[in-house]
Amino acid sequence: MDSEQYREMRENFQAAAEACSLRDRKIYLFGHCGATEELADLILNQGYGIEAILDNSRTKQGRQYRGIVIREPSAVLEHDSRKSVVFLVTRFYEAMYAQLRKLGFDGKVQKLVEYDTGAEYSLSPETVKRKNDRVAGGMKTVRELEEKHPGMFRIYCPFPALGDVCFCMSYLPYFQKRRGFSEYVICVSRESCAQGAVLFGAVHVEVLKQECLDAAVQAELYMQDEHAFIAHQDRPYAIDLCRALHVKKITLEKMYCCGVFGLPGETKPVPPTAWLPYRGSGRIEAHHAVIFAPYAKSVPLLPKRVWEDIVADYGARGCQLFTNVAEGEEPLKGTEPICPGIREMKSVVERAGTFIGIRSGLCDVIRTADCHKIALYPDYHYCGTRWTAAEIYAIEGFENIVVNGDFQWLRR
Amino acid sequence: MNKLDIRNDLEEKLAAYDRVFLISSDVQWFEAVFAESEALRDFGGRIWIYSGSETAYPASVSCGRISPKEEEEIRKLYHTYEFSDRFYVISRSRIHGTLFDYMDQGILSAEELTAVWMR
Repeated sequence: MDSEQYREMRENFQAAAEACSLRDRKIYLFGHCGATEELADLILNQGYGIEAILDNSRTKQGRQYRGIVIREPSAVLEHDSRKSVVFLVTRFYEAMYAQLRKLGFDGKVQKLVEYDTGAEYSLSPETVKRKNDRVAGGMKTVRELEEKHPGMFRIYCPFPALGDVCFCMSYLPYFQKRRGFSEYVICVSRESCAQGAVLFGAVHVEVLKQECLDAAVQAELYMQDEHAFIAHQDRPYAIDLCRALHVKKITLEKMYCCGVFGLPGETKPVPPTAWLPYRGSGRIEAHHAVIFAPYAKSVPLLPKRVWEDIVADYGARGCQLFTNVAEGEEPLKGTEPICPGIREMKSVVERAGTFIGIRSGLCDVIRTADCHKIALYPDYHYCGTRWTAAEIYAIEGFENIVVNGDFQWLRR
Repeated sequence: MNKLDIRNDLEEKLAAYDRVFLISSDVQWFEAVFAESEALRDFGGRIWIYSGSETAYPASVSCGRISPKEEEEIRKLYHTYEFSDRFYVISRSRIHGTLFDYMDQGILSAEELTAVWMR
């Protein structure tokens, strides 16, 4: 969750707390993910209790987060629904809302972050009109893109994840050749994603507000203009490549290669080339430093103790220790903050000699870097499937390590 | 059916059936596989299919024949917003990847493809 979404969640929670006297209600959260954990932290830190986190995934049920048990959704029926409230911070709000109602829960259900303005489970004339207006707004954005980049093919990366952009860019040249276009513009919603695209040689990149990007993508879907392409595996709703995971294991890499771009499985990803040297490389002791990357936007974070153990290990070896941080992020205790640009990351980790990070898009960025690379995987299942995150996201050239409940860091 | 009729019909079908499919005319070859698949036969819920073809479905599956114009209208509505998670358009696309791309690359068989939609 980015800072703007966090602010939206906090404000909506405050408003809900004031409007429905939360102290007298049983609070449930629906859908266990990183964003839900952030919401749980917010609620617990304000002194409220949380009855349970509801989740459809059987593999998650029975686990706990900060003492809150993850349970099957029907657990919400154990208390008087008029005295219960369910909060959601997920893009699947509409589906989850419908599920709760189908279960017979008639209490309050509230989303605290607007993740998906393209979903509304209704076919009422008012809804259709509102959504038609949204498509019209998206068409306006598309026209503006066409005017600014005449004749260019439009590539959309609808989800603001750096890793997704890296996968897109790694296979785009083959797709470009097959479809026979020369120039293209990449449309993303975050500056970091734009940097990711530039790293792979993109010349024309547009950073749009997420809402504008979503509406433009919707408009492209509506118009089915063949001069546009939505490069994602499950966004928006009409793209259902991820659903195949319910039948077969397909790594994210293969999803992009074979599913998103329709390329043969043996196609080799194109490496990034537009690297920049790190301006502050003098502060990094060559080949005797470690770059830690404990933060990720869309992945549940690892327990602090895991990082403390790893930092202590490398500290005892006399290594120089850095934490890669973005605005508002704290370095791990005992490490110095470092905040290179995305295009400088290869230079940083190669100079340091060792990179240890949670499996995030940053790992995709540096996957061709020549150094010791370790990716740590939170032990969760990908999108409610039976495949673990480590199975779907495993990355070549890295030591891939799963961090489960009784994980102990062993010296490597 | 005009636009309004289509919307009303979809609303009706979504209220009465567990899954509603539109089999697009561009993948009619696949419809026979779909109609004869185990996954479709073994699906426990009620299924409605909009199709322009004369494909024969098992007795447990309900099917409504639609014209190319009606198919176009339903697709347009589907591409306007997500109005249900129980409505699926089975189709290829030039503007994004589809499950058929997996099939083309040998990752999924046609039977597995059906299993994905029926899960």
